Amino acid sequence: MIEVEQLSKSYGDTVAVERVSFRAEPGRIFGLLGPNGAGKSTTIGCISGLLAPTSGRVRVLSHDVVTDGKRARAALGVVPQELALYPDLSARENLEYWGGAYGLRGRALAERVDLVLERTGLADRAKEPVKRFSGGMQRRLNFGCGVVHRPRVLLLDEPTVGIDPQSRVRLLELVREEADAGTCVLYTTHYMEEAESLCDRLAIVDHGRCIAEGTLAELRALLGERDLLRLAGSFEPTAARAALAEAADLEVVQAETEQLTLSLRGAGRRLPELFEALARAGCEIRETTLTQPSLESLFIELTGKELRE
Amino acid sequence: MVAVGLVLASARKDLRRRLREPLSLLLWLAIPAVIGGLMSSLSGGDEGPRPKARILLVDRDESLLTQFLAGAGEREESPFAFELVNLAAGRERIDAGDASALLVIPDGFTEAVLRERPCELELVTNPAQRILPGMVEEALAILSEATFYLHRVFGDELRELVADSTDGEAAAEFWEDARVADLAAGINRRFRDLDAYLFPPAIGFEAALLPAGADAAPALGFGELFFPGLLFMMLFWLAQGMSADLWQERAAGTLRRAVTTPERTGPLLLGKLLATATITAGLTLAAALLGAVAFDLRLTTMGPGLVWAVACGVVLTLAMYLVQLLATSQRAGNLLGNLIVFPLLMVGGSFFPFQFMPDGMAAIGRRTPNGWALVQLQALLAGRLGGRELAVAAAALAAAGVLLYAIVSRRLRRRFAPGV
Repeated sequence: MIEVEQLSKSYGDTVAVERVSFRAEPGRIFGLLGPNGAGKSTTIGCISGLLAPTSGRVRVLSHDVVTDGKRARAALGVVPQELALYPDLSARENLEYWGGAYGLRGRALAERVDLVLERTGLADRAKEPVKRFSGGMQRRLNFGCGVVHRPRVLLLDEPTVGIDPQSRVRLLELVREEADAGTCVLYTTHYMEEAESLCDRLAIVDHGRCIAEGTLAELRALLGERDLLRLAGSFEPTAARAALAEAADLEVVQAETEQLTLSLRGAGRRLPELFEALARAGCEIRETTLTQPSLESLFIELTGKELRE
Repeated sequence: MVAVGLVLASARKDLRRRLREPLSLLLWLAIPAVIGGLMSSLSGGDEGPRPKARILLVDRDESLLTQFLAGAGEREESPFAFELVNLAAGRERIDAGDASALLVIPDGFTEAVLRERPCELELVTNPAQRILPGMVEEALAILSEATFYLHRVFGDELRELVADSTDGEAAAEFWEDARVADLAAGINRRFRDLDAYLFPPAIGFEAALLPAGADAAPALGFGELFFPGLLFMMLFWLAQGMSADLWQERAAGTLRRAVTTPERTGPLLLGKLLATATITAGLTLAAALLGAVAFDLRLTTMGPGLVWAVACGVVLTLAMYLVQLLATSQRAGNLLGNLIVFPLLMVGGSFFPFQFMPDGMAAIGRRTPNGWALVQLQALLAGRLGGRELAVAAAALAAAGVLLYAIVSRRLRRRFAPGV
């Protein structure tokens, strides 16, 4: 398992991660969800030993990554966000090298390499130089190099970025298979749908801080049964807020000159009432988007902005 | 045991990658080979006739003495070759760089020499040449000195000879037997006077045989002079090329992945050095074979020298790794590397052997790291490096290697690979 306690990482005055804590269990997929620059990769870097934490504590299978780093790293498999492959070598040679880096030798290494090539769908092109592979194939091999030594803890840093839909589905299946085999998986992404479909437990991070954590059900409960209503048009923020102040059980999440975001129960039924109030305040509505409770709406509720911003 | 296996795996991985780009390996060998070939062609190498200083001679005196001087150049072992020309043609040809020097002997030169009177020779040298005109100037200075001492010893006889042979009626009687016999007796008497100083000579010489391994350097052929320097040139190119691989690994993300493995970058770096040593050994052997074919170098005596060259190649690669790690980009790394490599090659005896450099420059060159290593290599190839000196040199090289490894390893893991 992975235990992260009050982890912080700073670069001079810039705080990349601030007092982040969570715990990932064996056989489960723990997701770190957040926009680009939220601190997900820095957190993975601190767990994998790539970066030294400024403060806090990280343990992998009870081994502290700072004081007992070699044992902690021996338990880890890392699939970095960027490809980490030798383009001149073949898929098999890459897998053999990275398997060897974790102490696999001889027959055990050869068997694992064969199995990973089979699972990643690269067996028939195992002898080709990686530089001839498509982006999706390289992504799958990148994943294979992270699991070839059968790690007990697997860190995946946005492994599906820039990948074709077919390879993405296959990769997510592979991640699920690893967790089903008992591996503790930490998965970072900024794709809501990936996090919702894949992760058993999630932490939402923004600006280096963990702003919510729990299972998908627990996180949805945080939002209640509230819908998210986004109105595009022309608004005067102060007047719009004043016009909606009297409306029952409604929260203005964001009010800008071209967009208004509201959180409320039964938004579909209350549209005429809202439109009338806003019209009286001189607002002009050109587009309406209604979002049912989801991670997306939770993120907006918590941060006041969309995840992809 | 895991680490040893990983070092071997890392070395195997780098060798595979290198062997898939054989052109770069060949270039590292080819560049010094081409430079060596060009230098050999330009200088004539060990074969062919020795260069002679071609002297254009304008003989206005046309005496026995000047004919004797011109005739001396016809001897095969003479470093000079005289060609009689008129003044206009001589000036035109020396201006065109067609000879090493133009010597104008004025009318009355022989008489001036015999009478010990002032006389002015005109010597015009070719500024495009350095050594051969210098030899001509030196030779004339020596002749001038010799004339002075000739007069100190045989001055009376010479003056009498020239007076009698050129002075009207006396000249007719000059070649009579009694006159010649009298002159010969006078010269013989002079030699007898000098006998006490010349046999044995008043100045004594003591011959001392320097022990083997000291500064007693035998004459070196072209190959022996140039081969070690060219070998080091190859080692420099190789080290620079191998060190640039760090940027490729960084761009590929493999360095970052290596940091997350249990053994981090240590085995990866050692593997790279092992691969470097293997490639260096292969290329050094190929260079030695080329040297044997082109310059008649003896392969059988090269063994220790080649081992030394391989060890130097590994340490040089470590030094070039450090250069790359100090740079902020691959381009900056290459630029910095070139700024260091080229002056070191020039001063350190790779382009020009120390024997061809001015003494001051050679002294500086021998104190550069590669110059020092080159001196050891030359001594090893010549069989002049004793066991103790070899042990000291090997220890110094090993110490430099260990220090560089420690610095490179730390910087690679902490700053370069994570990119922070």
